[in-house]
Amino acid sequence: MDTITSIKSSEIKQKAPLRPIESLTDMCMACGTCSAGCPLTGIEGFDPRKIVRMVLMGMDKELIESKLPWLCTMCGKCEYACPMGINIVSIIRTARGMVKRENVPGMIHKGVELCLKTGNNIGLPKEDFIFIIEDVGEELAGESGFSDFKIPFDKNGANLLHTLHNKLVNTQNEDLKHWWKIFHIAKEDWTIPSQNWEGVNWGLFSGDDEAMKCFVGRIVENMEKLEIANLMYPE
Amino acid sequence: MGNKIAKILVVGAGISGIRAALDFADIGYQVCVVEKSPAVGGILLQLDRQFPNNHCGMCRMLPMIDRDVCSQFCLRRGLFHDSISVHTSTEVVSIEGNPGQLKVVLSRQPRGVDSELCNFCGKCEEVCPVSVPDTFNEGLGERKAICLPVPHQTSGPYSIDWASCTKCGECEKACPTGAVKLDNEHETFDMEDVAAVIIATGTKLFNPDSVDLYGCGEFPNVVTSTAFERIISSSGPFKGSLVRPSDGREVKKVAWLQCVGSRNLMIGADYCSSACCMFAIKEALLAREKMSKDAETVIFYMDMRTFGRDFQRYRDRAEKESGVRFVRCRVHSIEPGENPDDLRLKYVDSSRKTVEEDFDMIVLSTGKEPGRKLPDYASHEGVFVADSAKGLKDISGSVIGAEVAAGRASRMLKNLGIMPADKDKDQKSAGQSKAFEERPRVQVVLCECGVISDAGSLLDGIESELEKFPGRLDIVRVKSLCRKEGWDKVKQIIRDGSANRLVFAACNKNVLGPKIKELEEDTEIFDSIVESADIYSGDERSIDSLIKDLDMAVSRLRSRRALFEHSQPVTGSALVIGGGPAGLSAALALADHKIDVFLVEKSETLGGNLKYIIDKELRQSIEEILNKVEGNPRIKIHKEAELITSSGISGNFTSKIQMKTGEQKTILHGVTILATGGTAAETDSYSMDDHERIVSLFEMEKLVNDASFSGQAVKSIVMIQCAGTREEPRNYCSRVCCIKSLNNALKIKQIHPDAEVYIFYRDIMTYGDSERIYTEARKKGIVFIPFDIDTKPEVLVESGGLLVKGIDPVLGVPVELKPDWLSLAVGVVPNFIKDLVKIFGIETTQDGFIKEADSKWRPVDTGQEGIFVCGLARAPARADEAMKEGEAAAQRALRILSKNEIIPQRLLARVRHSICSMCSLCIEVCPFNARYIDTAEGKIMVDIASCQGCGTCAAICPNSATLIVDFEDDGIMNVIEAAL
Amino acid sequence: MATRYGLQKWFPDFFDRFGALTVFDLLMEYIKSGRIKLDKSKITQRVAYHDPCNYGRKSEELFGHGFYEEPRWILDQCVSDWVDLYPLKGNQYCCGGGGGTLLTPYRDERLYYGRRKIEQIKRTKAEMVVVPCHSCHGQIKAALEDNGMSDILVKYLWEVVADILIID
Repeated sequence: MDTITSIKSSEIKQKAPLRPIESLTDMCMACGTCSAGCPLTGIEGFDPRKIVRMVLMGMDKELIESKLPWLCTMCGKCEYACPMGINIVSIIRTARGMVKRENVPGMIHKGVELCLKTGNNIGLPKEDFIFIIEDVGEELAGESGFSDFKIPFDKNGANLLHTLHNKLVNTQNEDLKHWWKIFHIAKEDWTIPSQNWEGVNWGLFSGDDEAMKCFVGRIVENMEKLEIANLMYPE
Repeated sequence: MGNKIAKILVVGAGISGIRAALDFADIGYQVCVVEKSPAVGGILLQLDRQFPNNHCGMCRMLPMIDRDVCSQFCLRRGLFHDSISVHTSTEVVSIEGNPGQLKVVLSRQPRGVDSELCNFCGKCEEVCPVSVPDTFNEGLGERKAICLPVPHQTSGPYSIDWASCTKCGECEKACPTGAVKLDNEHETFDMEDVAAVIIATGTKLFNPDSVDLYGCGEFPNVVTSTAFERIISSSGPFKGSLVRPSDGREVKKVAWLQCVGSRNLMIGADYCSSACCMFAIKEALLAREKMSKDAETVIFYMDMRTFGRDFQRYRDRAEKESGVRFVRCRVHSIEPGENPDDLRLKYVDSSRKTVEEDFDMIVLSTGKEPGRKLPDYASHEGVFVADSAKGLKDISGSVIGAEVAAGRASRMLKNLGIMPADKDKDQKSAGQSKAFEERPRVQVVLCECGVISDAGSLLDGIESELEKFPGRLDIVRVKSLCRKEGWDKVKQIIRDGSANRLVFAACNKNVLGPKIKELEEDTEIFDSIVESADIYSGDERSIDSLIKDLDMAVSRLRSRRALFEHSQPVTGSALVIGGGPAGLSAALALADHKIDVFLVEKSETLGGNLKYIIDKELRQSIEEILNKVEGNPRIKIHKEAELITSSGISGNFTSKIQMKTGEQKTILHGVTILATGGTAAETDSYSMDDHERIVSLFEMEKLVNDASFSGQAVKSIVMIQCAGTREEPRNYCSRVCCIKSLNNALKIKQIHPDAEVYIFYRDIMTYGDSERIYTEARKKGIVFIPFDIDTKPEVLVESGGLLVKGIDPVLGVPVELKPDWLSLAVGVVPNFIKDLVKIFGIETTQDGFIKEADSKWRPVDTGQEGIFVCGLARAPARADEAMKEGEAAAQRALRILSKNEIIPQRLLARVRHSICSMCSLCIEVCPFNARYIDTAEGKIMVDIASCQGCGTCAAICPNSATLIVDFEDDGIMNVIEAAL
Repeated sequence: MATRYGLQKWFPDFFDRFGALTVFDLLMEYIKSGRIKLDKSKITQRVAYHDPCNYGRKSEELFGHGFYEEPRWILDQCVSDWVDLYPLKGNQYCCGGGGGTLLTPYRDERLYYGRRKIEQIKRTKAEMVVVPCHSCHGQIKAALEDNGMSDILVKYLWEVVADILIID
């Protein structure tokens, strides 16, 4: 970081939603509570107090161009004890959202793009999805006590909409069965949508409100289309 | 009630309540103190030792002039004053009516134990089957449901904690005197014709139990600062050794976490609790006394608020001499450590490194509880609220606040024409009892008790021994002295007989104490001619040892003599030196009490630093007082005048002032109030003199409040705090700079919203509610950059412009600013008063402030009785604080001025002039400055207003020319002989 | 959490038209109503419960209710010896897998972050960690492996329920 010669205005500060107490980064007393509480402080220059200070000084560019926002788990432990109620997590998310999309590290933005295109974060075509799910369903039906188990795809008027985490569909198929077993024994009237079944919203992580809204909207759409009574929150 | 003496109600019996009650009693009012808890003393009951000398000192609040009307012992053990009645477990329900005739409804929680009957035998406690956490020890250890609410307060009876009592009745059965009454009902009663009410209910401390960050309840070794006081107290649960509550292991490493419950918007605590920083340092120092040399004490803080006159040096000594470690980081939470019961703290140090450290014990510096409001009746007319009921105050702040509230109430009463008792009629003194002029005739009253079955044979034995005593002794037996019937009989015997000395052989002295006081009213027998011996309490004792006690009592009484001292007349006027805010408010407070005041001001105008004060409200309040002073016929103002001599003693001073014209004037006055003020300090730090745009914060204040400021182009302003202060040689916080700088900064932002304002600071000292200004300043985008004494910013004057270089410690990045203006917080210094110091023989601090008699308990008294100090002359203060000190000083002065004469008290030193060699050793050693040479008479004299009968003079006198009344050699020898 | 937050923010009328249930609501309703029955004797190991940020601290702030007691009630129905990791509930430590960090290339940082959770788990001597969150599941599993503690099982809360279902 360069010498500070003046405070600049910060877009992050303007954009980041405030917590109920409505306290800006400006309110920071640099007391160190957040730094003391964060398990990552000191790693790769990470320090929540420093991030708040950067925003306070208007060093948006330095923050956005660093990997700091992506190291944070947005867990909120820093905020939990912050005596000034500063919106540290919102700052992180806002900073993430201001990163050029091609510079978003790892899978996050790629997953968002895939989901926008295909309805799930791994870009799985519908037929492959149905194949995998039915295959796991049949496997479950082979276990004792579940012989009449069937996957209820797109069941109109069902009581409960069940979305899926992409990683279970992708690699951890075995873990799909837990809820299905419970639904079966509880005689739940449930359904899985064959389209837009993704339960995880990576727009939250990438700081992309538009995408995030779109994914939530798809769930609403499924609920309406299939006339379902209750949504089981995905995460 | 019948008697016409105006009655004052004081609500709350902590430091402020006791102070206010004694203030009123001192000037002749009857006072009733009600206290919600079962004991008198407030928070101080739990705290043994105080900053700065790590002693207690609460007794220094006791009356020093009218001593005989008040028990002269530790105030933490109770308050006993002839004019003060105390109701514990009592609260105010409502107040109505007009000032002077208020009607107060009170509600009393029954104690469950009759104080007239309880003889403290403790049998109830033994049999009580209910054990609960000991509230007095903050939950450490256990106590019974029936207990002494304050273990060292053996003067109040046992008391039942109804919340835990199961009413099983065991205690009732076990009580030998029938004092326990489980069916007591909660009662409501009225108090009519109350002249004024003082609210001194104190402040409740934040309870950290509900905050999961600190692990209270989870970790036994996390304690509050109050609990820590109990741990290190010798009357505490661990008998004073510093051990961990969890396993009793010696504590080797302990940390304090500051601002628990304070400076936290999330819990609605936008304030600093003011007292905790110094409290923590004191605790750390006390802890170090008890710990091994290699032990560690660490204080985690945000700003160390050492904003009092001597605080910074105390902190520095703690750090440098005692090894207390200070870490600037607010800790997030407490976690379990490596070993069982250890506690782990994680923090970021000054080099931005993460550190994990394990501790044996962690102390939470809990501040004021947020959101507590005063009851509605507090705003009723005729009700005055002491400062400590509005926010947490340290001891001196509580004392001054109480004096102010008492003073304002008594001014109101004076204005309403309500008078205290006639000054002279009711002034009785044990020293002047007629009994001492007569030959001693001793009456021994033996209590037959009503409880102990074999008392008769014991008394037979005693009586036969007593009959062998030389000289005449009248002996009489009375049944149940502790009850009304028994006591009435005693009064009858006294009235019928001819005895002028009394010895009671009964039980616990605390049972008889209050009753003996009663005798004074009913039989004109003073308690100083009464002695008692305890023949019943404790283990079985031999008749021989009981007789020795009685023999000693008789010897003491027989050796008591009449006092030779005469009353000292009091000149009922005051001299106030200094016409600034403090002096003005002192003068007006006295004049409002119909006291004549001579106000002497060196300069040609009154107002002092008023000319620099810009804050509108503050200006108005000072101007208002100034106008009242100028228009008050009782205040004689002498401008451009200086004091040249002053002599005399408390109540009687003769001073000479000299006008500019050379004319001299002699003034006779009873007290002197020094309000000589202070002024902005000068500094050469930070290139102060090298550039016209480097100004002091006071000049900055003027600048930003000038109409022309809005027309200036202002892009950036830098302020540097503690310029030349809080380091030697001027190592004290000036208290006003942070608040002023912040207000200046806010003003700049108001006029030039786009201007950047940077404040370099060491510790922001916005104590109390002024924390809000700091919060507001940050909200407005003012940037605060902390620095250490070793990392001061640098100021360079370059090609006509200013360059300030520093380091942002959070980012570790250099900061280089080119401000339009640089404001330096230069601080304040006291005015130069060497001459006055010499004239009055008073002490000053190394910085030239006038020293008070006791910084905590007697903050506006000097070591010289009758001379008081207030405002900047004493210590850095805001103008509003200085004015309060002025009122407090006036209130202290009234103790003397409200009397026509000072009456000698029983316990006094006297000089046998015939054998006095005038060596003056006694004058040097007297801790109360009570001795002086009367040059006209050529004698060493004792000022009876100042002498406390401590005996230091008698001890040093090489030829026994000094005596302490009642402790003369022959009497003491007789008593010793009786004891052998 | 993201979905619920998104619904509140952009589709507030959703709640007038539809019901919405968390995993805890569902499990509790099944157990309480007797729609499923559980065999508590099947799990004999000591189990440690980890509070996910999203269901705890974040829900508390965003929705005014943190799911602290619900999973603990469910665990009471499933396991006889379960323990908490301290600090817990609102002040718990994130496992290190929140905020999408499982999807970034910063694996080392993420696993370093997870050391706190590993220390906590070690202290309890538990043989199984139960979580009600997919991210926590992935991260804790990885962190345990990284610390040579892969003998400790990591299970979803509903997995524990499914494992001990009584099937007539």
